[in-house]
Amino acid sequence: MTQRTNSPNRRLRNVSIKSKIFWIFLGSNFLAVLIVAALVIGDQYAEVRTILEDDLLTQANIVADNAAAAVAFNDQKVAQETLLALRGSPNVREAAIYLPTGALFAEYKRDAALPDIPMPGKKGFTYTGDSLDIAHPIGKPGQDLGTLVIRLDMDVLYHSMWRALGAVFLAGVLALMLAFAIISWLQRIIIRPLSRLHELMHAVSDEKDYSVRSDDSGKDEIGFLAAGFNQMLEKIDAHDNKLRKIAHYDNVTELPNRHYFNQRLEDAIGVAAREKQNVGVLFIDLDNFKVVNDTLGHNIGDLLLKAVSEKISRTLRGSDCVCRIGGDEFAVILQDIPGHADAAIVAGKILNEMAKPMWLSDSEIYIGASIGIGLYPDDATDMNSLLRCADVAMYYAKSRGKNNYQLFQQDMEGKALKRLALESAMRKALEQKEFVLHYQPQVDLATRKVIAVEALIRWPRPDLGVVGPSDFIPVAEESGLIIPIGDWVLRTACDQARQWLDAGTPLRIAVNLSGRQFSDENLVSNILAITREFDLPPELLELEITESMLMESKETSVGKLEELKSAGFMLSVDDFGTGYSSMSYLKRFPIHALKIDRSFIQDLPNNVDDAAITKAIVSMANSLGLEIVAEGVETTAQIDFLRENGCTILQGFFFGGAMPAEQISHMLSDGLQGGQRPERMSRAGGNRPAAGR
Amino acid sequence: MMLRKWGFVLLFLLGTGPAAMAAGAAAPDYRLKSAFIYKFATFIDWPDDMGKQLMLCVAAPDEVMQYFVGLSGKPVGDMTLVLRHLGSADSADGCDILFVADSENDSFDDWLSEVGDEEVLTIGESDDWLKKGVVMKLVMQGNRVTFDVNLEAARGEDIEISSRLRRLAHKVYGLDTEDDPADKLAQ
Repeated sequence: MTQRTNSPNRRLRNVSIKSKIFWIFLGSNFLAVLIVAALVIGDQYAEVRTILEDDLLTQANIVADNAAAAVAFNDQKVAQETLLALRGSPNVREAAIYLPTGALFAEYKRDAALPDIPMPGKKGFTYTGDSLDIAHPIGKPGQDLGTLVIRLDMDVLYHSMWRALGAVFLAGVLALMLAFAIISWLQRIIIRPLSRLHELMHAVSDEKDYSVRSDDSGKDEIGFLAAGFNQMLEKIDAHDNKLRKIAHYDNVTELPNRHYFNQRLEDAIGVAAREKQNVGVLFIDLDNFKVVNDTLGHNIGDLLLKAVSEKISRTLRGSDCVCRIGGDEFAVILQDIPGHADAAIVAGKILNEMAKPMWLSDSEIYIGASIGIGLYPDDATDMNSLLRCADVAMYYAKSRGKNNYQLFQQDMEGKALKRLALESAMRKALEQKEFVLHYQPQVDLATRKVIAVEALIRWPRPDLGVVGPSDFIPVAEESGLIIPIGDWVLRTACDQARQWLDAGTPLRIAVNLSGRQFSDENLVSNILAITREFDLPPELLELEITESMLMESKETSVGKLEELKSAGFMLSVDDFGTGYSSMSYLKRFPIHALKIDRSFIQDLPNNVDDAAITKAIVSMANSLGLEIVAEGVETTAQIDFLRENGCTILQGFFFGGAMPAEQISHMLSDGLQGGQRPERMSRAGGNRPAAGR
Repeated sequence: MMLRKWGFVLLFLLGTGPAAMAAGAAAPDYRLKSAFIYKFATFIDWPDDMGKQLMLCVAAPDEVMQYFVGLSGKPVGDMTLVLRHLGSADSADGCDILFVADSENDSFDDWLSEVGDEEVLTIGESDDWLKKGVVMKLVMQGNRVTFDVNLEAARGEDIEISSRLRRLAHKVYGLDTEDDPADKLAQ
């Protein structure tokens, strides 16, 4: 509050420059005129006064000289006559001669009505407002014959003053007129460029149009200001473009981003509405991109995204638009697409293109994609709904085993809702401990004893019955719930193993690790913490990893497996034979067992191919010093074949399905009876896929 | 010229009256006259080569002289007035102003012609004298002293009487220019 808002400075600041220049210029001009007027009039006054005084003095001298003798000789008549000579001077109003005694000796009045001039108190000049008096001694110095007084009208002085004033006033008016002319000229050369600049600035700030420029090329301050203004605009424009680019483009793939996509889609729908066209939206989500990112690093991940964006772009028409709308999500707008079938063709082309391998920093990478397709106006009539349709369709495609496309259908939304419901139900189940572990025995043919069990998760839902892992594990995997669920499985299995150990019937429990669990960097420390918690000997815990998990991230896998093996845990490869594993890799992994996938077992011994593969796997495992476990064993023929070929550890319904822990306890205490059949033999209650996948 | 002659005639016709009055005038008139003479001296434009003294010669009886004694030593411009009592046998040499009282007219009759060519301001009291060539004649007008002046005589004696003085004169004789303002007064 140092400066009051109504201070003159502030008030001056609030006046436009135009007015400021006007008033300052006019004011200074007026002041100059005033000063000149004062000087001129003052000078004129002084000069006229001097002239008047000189004149009066001369006259007084002459008259005093002429009258001296008359006064000396006391001749009033002559003195009177001498004074009468003053008639020749029209300015002289009256005159008088006083004797040294103070007596009036002679006088002259231009007008008889005038009052007498009194004897002045002093010699010399006296101004009395409208007149100038002079008191002049008569006679030679020292004679002191008397005093002559002459009174002069000041009219001359005043007249000359008025004349001077008139002249000055006229000059002042002329000067101010000239000032006006100069001001308007100034306004043209100063204010107008400023005003233009001001208007330009307004245009910029109102319309946000940074492409306008001032055309002022003057070399004065305003010109520099305009140039600076242009430079600033240039910078803002560049910045604006950059910001717009940042705002609308993704810098990894150089594709437009979600923001831009939304605008584009809105526009596309607008056009389609007018032109009665269709708009297709493809929602593309890369399958297992997170794994690539986590295992090969973000640089490779970015390269992959770029490669994918190029692949997608390659398959599209020029008028179509592809955007990156999320981490591994792309979306395509197909403007004016004839129908669903055509959108599906585009999706198919994209999948075909994706199927081709990509070489990224010396790695051959395959990546699939799930594509959901929504069509305006059939599926939805506004942007958000259309996007949601494509999104739902994409999720549907994912749930249908990935690497496919799905056209949106109305019932998908129900499925999507179901998926959401399932997710929240799972969270609740985890909190309320609704999940249970069942165990499927692995039997050694040689001893006919249960040597291990595989832990399999079950979810007995209050109103829906027991739900198998295939119905909820994929959702758990996608939502990330698999991590806490996997933890729970490990903890429960360890707890059970501890109980059996305490009961004197120690039994190894095999727990399936999901891909996400396996790529979790805390995996090893987590497992160690849990086994330590239950003080479980590591050889009682077996960890099953699928072949594809191993292959997805070979380097990190080896490290983790080494750590787990050195901690004493048993490691086995699940579903062996389905994942195109390279044999050369197998020996690099510190594993102790292979589990032959049930798909090879189920048609044994009649299927020649399966038989050959099984034989090859078994012999290879034997030569690598790996244990071999056959899954899905259901018949004695299968048992016989496997036994003949050297595979002695078997798992399957023939020996029992997944069962509660108590049943296993019974088996352990009672001993396994040959040919014991589980209550249910149907596939529906089958042991595949395993928990935690 | 005609006018002047007529003036002289007039003067002669009327002149005796005042002179008789003056002769019979009381002594205090001389006090005024002496003061007048002094004042008059101060208004004369004396030549530059006069020296430091202005000699006032007075030919008058002792009872008149007493009124002049006071003038001795008074300043006249840069000069100092020196008084000299002039007897009938004395020479008028050195006089700058010569006043001859009426009573002494006869004694100085011859003398007057002596000084006719010198630079002397001669002052008398009668028309007779004025006629004989005295420059000024003092006249009493009531209690005021005034004078008649014979410019011809003044010119003859190289005395410059300024127009301002002339204007004060009661009568002026011997004007040589008709447009002199004093001329009108003279008529």
